[in-house]
Amino acid sequence: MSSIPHDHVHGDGHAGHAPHPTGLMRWITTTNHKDIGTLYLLFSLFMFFVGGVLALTIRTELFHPGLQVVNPEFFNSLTTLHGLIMIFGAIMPAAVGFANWQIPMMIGAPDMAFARMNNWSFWLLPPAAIMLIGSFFVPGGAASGGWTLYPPLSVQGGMGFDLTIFAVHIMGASSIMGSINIITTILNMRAPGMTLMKMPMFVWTWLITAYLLIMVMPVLAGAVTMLLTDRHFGTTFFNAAGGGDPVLFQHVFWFFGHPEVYIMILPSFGIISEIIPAFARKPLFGYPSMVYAVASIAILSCLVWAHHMFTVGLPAAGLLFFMYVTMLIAVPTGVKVFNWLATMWRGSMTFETPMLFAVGFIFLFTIGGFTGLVVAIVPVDIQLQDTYYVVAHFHYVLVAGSLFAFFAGAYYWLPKWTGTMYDETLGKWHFWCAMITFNITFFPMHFLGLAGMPRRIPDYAQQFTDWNMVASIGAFGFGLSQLIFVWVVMKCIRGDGAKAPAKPWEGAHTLEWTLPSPAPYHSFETPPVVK
Amino acid sequence: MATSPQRPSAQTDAQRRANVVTALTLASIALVFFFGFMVARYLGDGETGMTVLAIIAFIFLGLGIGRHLWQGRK
Repeated sequence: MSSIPHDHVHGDGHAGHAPHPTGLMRWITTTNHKDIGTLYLLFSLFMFFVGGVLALTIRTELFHPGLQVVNPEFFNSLTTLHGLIMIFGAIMPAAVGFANWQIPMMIGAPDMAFARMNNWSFWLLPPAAIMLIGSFFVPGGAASGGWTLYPPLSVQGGMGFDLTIFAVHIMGASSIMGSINIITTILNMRAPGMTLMKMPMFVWTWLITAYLLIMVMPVLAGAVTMLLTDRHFGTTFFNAAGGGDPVLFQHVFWFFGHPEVYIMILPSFGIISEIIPAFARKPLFGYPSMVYAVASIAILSCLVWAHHMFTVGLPAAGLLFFMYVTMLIAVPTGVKVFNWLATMWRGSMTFETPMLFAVGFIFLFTIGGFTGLVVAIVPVDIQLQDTYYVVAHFHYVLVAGSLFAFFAGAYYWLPKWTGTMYDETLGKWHFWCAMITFNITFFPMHFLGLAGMPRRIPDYAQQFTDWNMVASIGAFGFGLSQLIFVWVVMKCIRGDGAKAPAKPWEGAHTLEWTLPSPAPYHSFETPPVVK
Repeated sequence: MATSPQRPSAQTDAQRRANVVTALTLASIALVFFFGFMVARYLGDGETGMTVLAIIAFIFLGLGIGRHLWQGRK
């Protein structure tokens, strides 16, 4: 990715540009969407490994009952920071990285609408990450109330909570700025002839995701601001002793939190919707229905937040409403899965690494979706609430969902980004190792949850030992298998591989494939005309 | 070291203006959700908050439709 040259192969607008800074200053001052996309992707990869190390520490502690490696307070910090880092530090920045790289190229725009704001959006993230990771070293340790930051723990905790709240503020501001940029770019800077219903699905999914972000991120920011004033300025929004309501925080948090799940998964849907037609060599089946399904999922995602709170004592009418609306999301999601399968049906398919990850995504995401339907049923959820079944469910959705789709997207677009074909053998090794070890890690958690093992505990009853051992072994395998991906990316960046043609995938038809590989530093300064 | 804007020159003034209008509209939505929620808690219960948000949503809708119709007449 860093091998992108500063030449201007496509377009002709370089005459008016000042000389580019080089070295570190290039990356600090860059306003180029490709550079910023690269920064986002590298940042998210780094944070993925930080979050992964926390996860492996958790799994080491849980390898055996009893307390071996960490004390319970630190264990709570590990689970909290693992969630926060993976969501805000790894998955969301990765999705924005894909958006930065791909959206301008896919709609025929020269760059993002607000190039300087784009630079700011990224450079807000490292300070936030330092605050989050640095909170481990402050008195009282890192936040330990779970990534949901529920009061009263978050009101009573130490300085680590303040750092976490500030980090969430900063990352929220970054996300909102990024979303405004993405929506403006998509609405105002499309190439002539590219109507909304001609946009690639990846662009559509990001348009809808960005609207979701603008709607729910400020709500989270508001909630944690109130948390901050409860902690330091004498308010009692969430403090029952002063007339506040801790459950109010849960309502507000999940009004953000559930759409957040779709914020993480919708761009993945978009990536999969690009890859499957390319490797099935058929147009996407039911494009309009895919667009409407994504929009329906986004709207419904704002109406289901209380399914995370079935055990707080909601009225029966509320329980029924949230249960049925949650189940309703299965309809548009089913439309999408059906359309992906229909696209593959009788297609001339080949199974290069992006396609393997895409098929793996569909298989595992569908399992995660089904277990989501299970916990959507109120009486079942009351039994399974806060057990490892829920942990298994959301990891099938977010790891096998978001992460596998991002791997698929990375392999799919690496030739365009670096100008070098990735190593197919290593890519396939990566897929199979990740696929097998992922299931070894997370499938047994369904059994543990059904047997009643609670989540967020460092110690557990003896009867849960065997499956915990299996899960821990799988987790280390899953972590190690990601090193293959790093190796593949490093090889591509170094140019160690076959030179990539402009369009390495026969069935790919979006605009970025009309550019040479690697994509020139400035592209589409003269907009293409879409027919 | 000179910091290059590295900005493509393809954006026209009209396009920049349109971009700023879109961005300000979107930012105002974010601000409404950020402050609206906290102000609503000060004003009263959840119903008051919902009412305030609904009124603001209708104002946005009205402005959006009005602007669309106005541009159509021009």
